[in-house]
Amino acid sequence: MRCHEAQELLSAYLDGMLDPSEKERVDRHLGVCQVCRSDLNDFEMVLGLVRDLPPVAPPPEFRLEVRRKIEQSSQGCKAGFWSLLARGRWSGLVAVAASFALVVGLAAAWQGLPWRGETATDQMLGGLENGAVNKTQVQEEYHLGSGESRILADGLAGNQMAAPETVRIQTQSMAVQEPEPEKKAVAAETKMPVSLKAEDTVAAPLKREKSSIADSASVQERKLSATGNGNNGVPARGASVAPPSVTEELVQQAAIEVRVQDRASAVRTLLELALKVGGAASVLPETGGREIVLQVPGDQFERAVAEIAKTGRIIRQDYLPGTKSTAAGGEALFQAAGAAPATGVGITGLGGGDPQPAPAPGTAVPPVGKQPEVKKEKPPDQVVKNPLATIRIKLE
Amino acid sequence: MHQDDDTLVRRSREGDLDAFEELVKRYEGKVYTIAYRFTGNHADAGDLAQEAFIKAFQALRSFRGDASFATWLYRIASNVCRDELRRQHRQKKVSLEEVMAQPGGNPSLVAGGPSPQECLERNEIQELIQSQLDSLSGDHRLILVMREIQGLSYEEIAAALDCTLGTVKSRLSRARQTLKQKVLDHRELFDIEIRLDNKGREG
Repeated sequence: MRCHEAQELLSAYLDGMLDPSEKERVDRHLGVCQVCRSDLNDFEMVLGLVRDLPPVAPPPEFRLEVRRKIEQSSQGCKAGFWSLLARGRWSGLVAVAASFALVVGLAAAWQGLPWRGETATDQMLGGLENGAVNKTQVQEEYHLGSGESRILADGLAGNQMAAPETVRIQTQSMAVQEPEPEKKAVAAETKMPVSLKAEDTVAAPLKREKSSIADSASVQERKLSATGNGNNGVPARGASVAPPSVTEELVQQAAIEVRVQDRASAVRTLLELALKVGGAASVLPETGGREIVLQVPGDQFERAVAEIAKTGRIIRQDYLPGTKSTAAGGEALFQAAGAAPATGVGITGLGGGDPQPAPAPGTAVPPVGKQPEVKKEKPPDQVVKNPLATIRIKLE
Repeated sequence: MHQDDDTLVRRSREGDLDAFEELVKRYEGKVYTIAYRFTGNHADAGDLAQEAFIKAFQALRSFRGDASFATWLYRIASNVCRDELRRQHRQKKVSLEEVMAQPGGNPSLVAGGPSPQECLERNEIQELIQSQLDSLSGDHRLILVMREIQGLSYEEIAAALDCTLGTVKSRLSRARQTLKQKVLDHRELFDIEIRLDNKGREG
């Protein structure tokens, strides 16, 4: 046996993992080779040092944090059944069922001309509620606390409507119910505004009233939409909200760890920063206020990062430049960071993309919190070109 | 009054968080150590160790008692480390600051450092070992933590990493070779040459 061959086998030799014949050959070689014997000694010594490394105790608050997170996640377990459906292979089935409900509803609505608009709205509501359940689970997955409110990301979703898929399905259903071609065309055309209205007026209040819907959910929502559209060409529950163009946008993300002298003043600075650039900031309470999520308009990303750097010494900075929001990019970053943004402490309003609520009788959008006037009237296409960038900041 | 693990597991499964907290108390040291040896810093170790316990709690129903609770829990901990590794691979993280100060600073001076009678020299060696572990590739670090810190068998490692025994053998061999070389390369730096030589002669 040659030395290099013996050295390849020394590791398994030490663990008694060689078969008898191999072991015997190595033994014989070690008997005559001083170099390999000393190599074996080095192995034993270094591995002994690794095994002797002392146990490391977790910080004192470790146990409590584990408990708190478990309590938070079990609060969200009420939606367990739905999450099972949504996460597992049943999701396709649910999507089909939801779409079927939509189709039937729209078809029925179209037949009863005088009240068809209302029925369509109801169906859309149903679809959206499904979507809302889904968001709750997403939140649960990321260990977000329920009952925490967050008013964010109006620009991310809600004002993007009526995916082509939706229109196609409506047309198909009309074809089944009403064979005359001109009626079919009319149906497709007249349906559009109905669904637009329904999305517009329902999506916004849902988002604001359901305190559990966090921004990560809307990131996730878009992802689900994308996958939903892949389900046999049928949009998943409420997934018709996001058009393909949104999934193409580039979203910048960063996770930054900063060592600061005074955490309170750093938090203040960051909240002010959010206000300055027309973004939003929220402190994550489960981190004991140590982590903050900033959302800023994409074109303010660099500036925000530069400002953050001024609050202390940056000890870690990871970013995903130009992440496609269709990919798991955003999700991955949040996972890596441990959790997703959760709550609205010290929220500043968002610039950009606040959807103009379409006036509909009986569905007024309640104003929530302070909505600054800046950039509020931005047209939707600018929102797509200037998506929100997310920066997660950990203060050490 | 002291309850055995099985009782605590049963109570936890029924939703008794006090019981689960007691389990966390019993095993947090070991789980945290695994995570710390793998990540080399307290911030990430805390995250991973927490994730391991939360996953364990959520999976309690699937714990059938074939192995001890401890073994089962450590397996979850190494799975969490493995998943973290995969996540990092996927993310292809861009680190702007190549060498960053480890949060938590000197590992041997913070929580759970060596016992008082352990001397400074010992600390130096341990720091050296940890820093060399940190400098290994994720795959090598993971397999070394599994084998040397957790004491898993080759079969258990193969099952956890979803690979063959042959792969475990060769990867572990390469990881150990690399670590040994790195440690020996640094011995002058840490002035432990004499001690190493002494120890080597004893062995």
